Amino acid sequence: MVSKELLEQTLKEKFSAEHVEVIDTTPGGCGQSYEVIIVSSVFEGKTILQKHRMVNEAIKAEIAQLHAFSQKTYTPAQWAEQQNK
Amino acid sequence: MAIDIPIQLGFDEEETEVFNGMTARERGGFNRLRDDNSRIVYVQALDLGQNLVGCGLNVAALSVLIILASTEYKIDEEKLKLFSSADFYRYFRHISDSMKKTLDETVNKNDVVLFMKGTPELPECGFSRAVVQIFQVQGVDFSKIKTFNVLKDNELRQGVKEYSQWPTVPQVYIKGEFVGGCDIMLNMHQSGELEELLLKQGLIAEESEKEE
Repeated sequence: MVSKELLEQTLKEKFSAEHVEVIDTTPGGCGQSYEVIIVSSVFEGKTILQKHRMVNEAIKAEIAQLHAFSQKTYTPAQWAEQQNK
Repeated sequence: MAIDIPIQLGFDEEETEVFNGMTARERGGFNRLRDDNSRIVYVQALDLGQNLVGCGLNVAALSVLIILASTEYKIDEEKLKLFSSADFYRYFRHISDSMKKTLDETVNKNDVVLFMKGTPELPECGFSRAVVQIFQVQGVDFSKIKTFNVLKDNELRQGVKEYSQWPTVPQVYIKGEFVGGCDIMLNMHQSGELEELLLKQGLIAEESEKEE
């Protein structure tokens, strides 16, 4: 199983992310299914496919162990806009 | 029998002892243990062009290399050096040449290809259902969408992940181009990019409201 804390820490480090949210979407929260939100300036100028591939690559081993994985990636500017909605 | 191999590949004595004491099953799960136990080792080998190349491998991957080296390569030190990273990755390729060819043809021949769990009528996973619904909302004619139920074909299920270099199912191809999975489809649907793409590819008609 993949722990929420570890996933959070890994993503923060690998993307120098200013904000990471990891939501355990498994009923009962058993660490099988996660939704993550990553806000990082490294996503600047990347297409959504490129961004998602970057995330998939960074946590390849973890994703392989999960039942389900869903991600949302934002640049700091996009995230600020999202928060103001 | 494989006693000397870890040392040759740069394990110290203690690591060798631990490694040799593990069952094959434990070795396979080794990289799933965290930090302290998950090591990357650096292996130098000659590639097919006889250039010396370095290759970072985690311990679990290395264990397979060792098993292979000790069988196929008969623990012959000279031959082990020739066991290159290219060979290594070839060994790890799950996708067969025929599967790759079939997938190439499939994604290029069809307007839209959807690899999913279940069928459009009866999706067996929420993410797959979401993608089907997005196509429905966009008004794409389902006769233009070739769907594959990966739950019915395990080779396809593994093969398509490697083919697309994408770890999850569903996966969508439009006119031969990989678009993405559920997250990307949903994102593009909401942003209007998907409609734009479908229009451009002639997969949906301009909405009548817009024409009026």
